[in-house]
Amino acid sequence: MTSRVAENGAFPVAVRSAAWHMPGQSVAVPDLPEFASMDEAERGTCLALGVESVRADDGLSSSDLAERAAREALGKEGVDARDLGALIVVESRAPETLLSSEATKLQHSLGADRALTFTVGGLGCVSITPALLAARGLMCADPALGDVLVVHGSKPAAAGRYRHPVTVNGDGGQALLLSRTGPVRLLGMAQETNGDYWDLFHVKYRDLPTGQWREECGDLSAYSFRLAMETRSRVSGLIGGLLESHGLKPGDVRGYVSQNLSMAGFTFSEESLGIELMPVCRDNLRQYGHLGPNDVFLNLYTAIERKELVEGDRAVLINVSPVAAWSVLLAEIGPQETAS
Amino acid sequence: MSDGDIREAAQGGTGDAAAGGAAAEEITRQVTEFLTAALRKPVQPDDDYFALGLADSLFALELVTFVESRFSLTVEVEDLDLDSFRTANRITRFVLRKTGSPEFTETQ
Repeated sequence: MTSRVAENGAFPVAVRSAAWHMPGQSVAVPDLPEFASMDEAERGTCLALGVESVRADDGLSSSDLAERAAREALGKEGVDARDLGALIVVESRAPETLLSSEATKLQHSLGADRALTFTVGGLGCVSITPALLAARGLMCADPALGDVLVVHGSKPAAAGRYRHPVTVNGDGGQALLLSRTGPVRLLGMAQETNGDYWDLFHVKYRDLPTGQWREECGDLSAYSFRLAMETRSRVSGLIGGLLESHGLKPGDVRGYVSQNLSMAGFTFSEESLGIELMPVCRDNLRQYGHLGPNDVFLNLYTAIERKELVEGDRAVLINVSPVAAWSVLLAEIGPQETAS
Repeated sequence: MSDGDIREAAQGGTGDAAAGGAAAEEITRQVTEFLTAALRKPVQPDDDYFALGLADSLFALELVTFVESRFSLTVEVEDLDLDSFRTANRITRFVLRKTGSPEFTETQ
């Protein structure tokens, strides 16, 4: 296998195959267990998010969701897990146990015995970006490295699925099989963080029964004003810089996708950045809710599946997390047959 | 400076300050007019619409975009202090500061 360096000097990474595992069971938002205990304002905000239902299966852990998606992604390309060069797990929001390793658990269950295995995270839904950056770095450092599998199982950290006033969390697993060639090339990645917001949202859990775990916002005004407006500046700068570094102009981008939080969140992104998000974002939000680090690639691949993105198109994937972190990815769609 | 001081500082001042005071009153008028329309309820110059729970991120975007375009300035990341945007009078002070108004510098 040979390595290639993109024209701008960046090392290209491609998604060879991608798969998701969505539980078969879905729950309508008004039927969420916590809905009855919300006050009127929270209920109104929750219903206005634009999430109609989420997939939810209490019998599947984050690892289970990730494993099922991983098996499908590998199976699509006929790749044996033993041939993986690396397995990168985007950490779950709340591990099943402390001290144990979800990364090596997946390594074991998949049989990825020779894969360099570790976990990345700490950036909420933006955590997919350091996972991709790590994969790119490994592939760049070792031209002989086999494919890299990046996986995440999305489940809410708290007992409830509603995060006031932001979103409703769903269940879903994702796996991206990264290689040096493939039908979706990741041309560029950029990420910024600001630790001022590290504790803006949190779930207190020590000495509390899990039924009392809540996703709480420590400062709603900071969220709705300062972080929102900083996001405008940060993401706008990231997109401009990413396109410029690749010699591209806004007109060279066929579509933008973002993480799925709420209809108002989409409108905010569109108005603050002067862009239009692809319709798949709203459609996936409606039926799946928020799937954390999995949203942007789910949206990208849904658009490809619908032929809203075709060969030669470029797309920008926007991720924002209140920790706070911002990232943009530049993807180019290639021929949609399997690349060798 | 308290929220209500902007107009008071302009009254009875020098010619420049008086002119600045008139400008401050006009800024406050335009901002309260915008706020009343955006929030669909009457907003007074010292009303803290964030404390009243009337503001979300879309409103914040509208507000900042309005301030930038109406008063020909750019709100930078370092300007994002919520205290500068909590009330119409505070926005007026922010606008005067950003645009280098003599009335603002005289009342610091």
